[in-house]
Amino acid sequence: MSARTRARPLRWKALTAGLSASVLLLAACGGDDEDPPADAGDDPADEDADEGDGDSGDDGVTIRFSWWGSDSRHEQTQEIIAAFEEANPGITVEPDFTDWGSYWDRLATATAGSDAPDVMTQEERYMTDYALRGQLLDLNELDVDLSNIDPLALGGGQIDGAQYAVATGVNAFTPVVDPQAFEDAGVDMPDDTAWTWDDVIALCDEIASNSDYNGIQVDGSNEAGFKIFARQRGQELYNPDGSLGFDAQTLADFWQIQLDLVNADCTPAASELQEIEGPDTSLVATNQAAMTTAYWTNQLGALSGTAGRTLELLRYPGEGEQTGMYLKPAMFYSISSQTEHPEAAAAFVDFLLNDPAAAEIMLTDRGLPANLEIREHILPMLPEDQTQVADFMAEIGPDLADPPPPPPNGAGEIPDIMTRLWEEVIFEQMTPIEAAEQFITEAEAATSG
Amino acid sequence: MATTELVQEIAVRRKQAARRNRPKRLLLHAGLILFGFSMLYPLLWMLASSFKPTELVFREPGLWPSEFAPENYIEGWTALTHPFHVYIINSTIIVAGAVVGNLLACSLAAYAFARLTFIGKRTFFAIMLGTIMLPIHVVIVPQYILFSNLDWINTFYPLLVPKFLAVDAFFIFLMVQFIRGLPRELDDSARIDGCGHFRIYWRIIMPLSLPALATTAIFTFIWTWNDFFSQLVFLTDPDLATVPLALRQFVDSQGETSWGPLFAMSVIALGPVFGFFLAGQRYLVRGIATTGIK
Repeated sequence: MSARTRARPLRWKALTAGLSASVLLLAACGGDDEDPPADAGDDPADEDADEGDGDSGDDGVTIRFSWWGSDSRHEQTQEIIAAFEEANPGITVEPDFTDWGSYWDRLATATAGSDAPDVMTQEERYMTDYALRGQLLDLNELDVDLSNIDPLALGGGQIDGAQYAVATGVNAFTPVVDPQAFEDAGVDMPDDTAWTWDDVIALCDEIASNSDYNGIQVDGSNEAGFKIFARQRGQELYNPDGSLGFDAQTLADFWQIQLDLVNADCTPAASELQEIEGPDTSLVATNQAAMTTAYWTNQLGALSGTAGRTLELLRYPGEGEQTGMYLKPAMFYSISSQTEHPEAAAAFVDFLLNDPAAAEIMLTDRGLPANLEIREHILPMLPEDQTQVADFMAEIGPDLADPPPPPPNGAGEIPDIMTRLWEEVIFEQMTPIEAAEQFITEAEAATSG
Repeated sequence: MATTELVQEIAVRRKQAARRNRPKRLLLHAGLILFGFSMLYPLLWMLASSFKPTELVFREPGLWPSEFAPENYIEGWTALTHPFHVYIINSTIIVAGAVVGNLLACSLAAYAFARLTFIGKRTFFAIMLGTIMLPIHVVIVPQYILFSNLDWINTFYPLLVPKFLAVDAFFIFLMVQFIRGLPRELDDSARIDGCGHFRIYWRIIMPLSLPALATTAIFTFIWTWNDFFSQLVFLTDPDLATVPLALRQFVDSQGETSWGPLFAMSVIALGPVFGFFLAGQRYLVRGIATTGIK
C-alpha cells in the first residue's frame, strides 16, 4: 500500500529528471534568438544580429571577422575592432579567431554550412579555391580604396581580373644569419649582393671546421625557396594559367645543392634536420648554426627573440642576374559572398587597410603593410627587429621581380608533396632527378582538378 | 618462550629469503622505475617547461630550469581575452551537462534495448551500433547546417542537447551489455510487487549498474573535457571559448608561440581530468572488468 502511494511522486520525479531535461532545454532555446547562455553580457544593442535587412545605413548591423594567429594578434585585432566600432557607430564586428591549423577546418565547415564569416582572412594557397567556388566577392565592385596598395602586392589577390582578396602586408623569403657565429668562427660575412651557392658551401665548410657551430640549416621542403631558385633561371613554380612552370632538372639542381651541403658535413645529420619545425626550434634560434637557407621576414622577431642575439637578413644566393626574390602577401582580407552586409564588410576592410589608427595598433603583425602611405607612417614606431625588416625590404626593393601569379587550386597540397619527396632525397632513397620527376607528376595531379 | 623463538626463527628466515632475492627485486624495481619514468617524461617535461621562460624552452632541453619563471602562470592566466577561469567555467558547464545527459539518456536507451521487446529492436540496435563507425567529419557539416538553422551556433546547445537524446552509442552499448548481465529474476520479483518498467529501471537497474554508470561518467568527462573539434566549430564567440580552444590561442605555427604560458595553462587544464580519474578509478576498473567479461 505504502509502496504504491510512493510510486507516483517518484515516477514523476524520475520523468522530470530523465525526459523533461531535454524537452525543457529544447523548448527553452527554441523561442529565444541569439543570446548565448553564458554570455558575459556586454553588447546590449545587437538585436537584429541575424534579421539583417540589407542596408547597412543607420540602424545597427553585425558582421563577423575571422582570423588566425596567437594571443598577441588576438589582443591587437580586438583593439582594432574597438577602434573601428568607435569610428563607425552602427556596425558591430564579432571576432572569430583560432590558430592556423584549426582555422581552415572551422572556415570550411562554416562555409559549407552557409554561415561563413562576412570578412575573412585568407592565404594564397587557399584563396584560389574559395574564389573559384564563388565564395568571395570582387572587391573592385565594393567601396574599398585600393589606390595606395603596393601594385607588386595587389596582383597576388587577382584572378581573371577580379580582386577577390587584398594583401594585408608583405613578407620576403630570405636567409637569416647569425653575425655572432661568423665572428666566433673568425669568418667574414659574405657580400650578399653577389654570393652564389658555391660561396655558401665554402662558408658552411669554413664555419663548421673553425668553430662548434654548424655552418647552415638546410631545408629543401619549402616551395618558396624553390620558387626563387626557379625564377633565377627565368622559370616559375606556377604559370599564370596554373600549370607548372619549371622542368625537372631545375628542381633536381635545387635539391642537389641542399644535398651537397648535408654531405659536406657542415650541417647536422639529415635525421636531426628533419626534426626542426617552426622558428622556435631553428638552429639559428638555438645558437647552433651560423646560417639558414631561408625564413620569412616576419619570423625574424621570433628567431632573434629565442636566439637572444641580433640576427641579420641577407639576400637569397643566386647565379644569374635576376635575384628572383619577390614579395609574398602575408595574408589577405576577403569578403564572403554569403554576407548580408557587403557595405559594412567593405567599410571594415577599408579601415583595416587604410586607416592609420588600425595600422598603429597592427604595425607589422600581418606583414609589412601593403599600403605604401601607411607603411611610411608606421616606420618610426617599429621595434628594432621590424625596423631591420623594413630597411631590408627597402634595400632589396629595386631588385625585386614581378610577383608570381596566385597559386592554382590545389596548391595547398604542394607543401606535403615537397616535404615527402625532399625526405626521400635527403635520406638518399631517391636521386634528386627521380624525386623531381615524381614531384612533377604528383603536383600536376594535385593542381589539375 | 618456545613460540617467541619460533616467531623469531620465522622472521629470520624471511629476512634471509628476502636478502637472497634482493638483487633480483632491486633490478626489477629499477627497471620498473626507469620504464615508468620514460612514460612520464613528456608530462614531466611539460611541468618543467611551464616554469621556464619561453625563449629557454627549446634552448635548454633538460628538465631542471636554470631560470625559474613562475610568472608563466600569471601571464597565462591573464594573456587571453578573458582570464583563464572563464574558460574553465565554460568547459565545466559543457562537461557537467554532457555527463548528466549521457547518464540519463544512455541508461534509458540501454534499458529499452536490454529488457523490452519491440518491433525492429534488432535493426535499431544495429543502426545504433553503426553510428559508432561514422567519423565526425561525415556528420559535422549536416550537423552544422541543422544547428545553424536552429540559430544555435555560438551557444552551448549543440554540445549539450544531443547528449540528452542518447547519441553516444558507445555508452548505450556498454550499459546494454551490463544490464543483460543482471539477473532477470530481480525484474520479475519487482513486477510481482507491482513495479512498472520505469520503476524497475529506476529502483532496480540503475542502482545495480553503478560500475557501468561510473565508467560512462568518467569517459564522458574526459572525452568532453578534451574534445576540441566540435567545440571549435560550434563556438566562435571568445566569450564562450572552452579550455581546449583557449589553449590553442597560445599557438602560432608561423611565428612566436608563448610556450611558457601555454605549458603552465596545460598543467592547470590537466588538473580536473586527473582528479576526476583518481576519484573514479576504482569504479572504472570494475566497470570495464564486469562489462567486458560477459
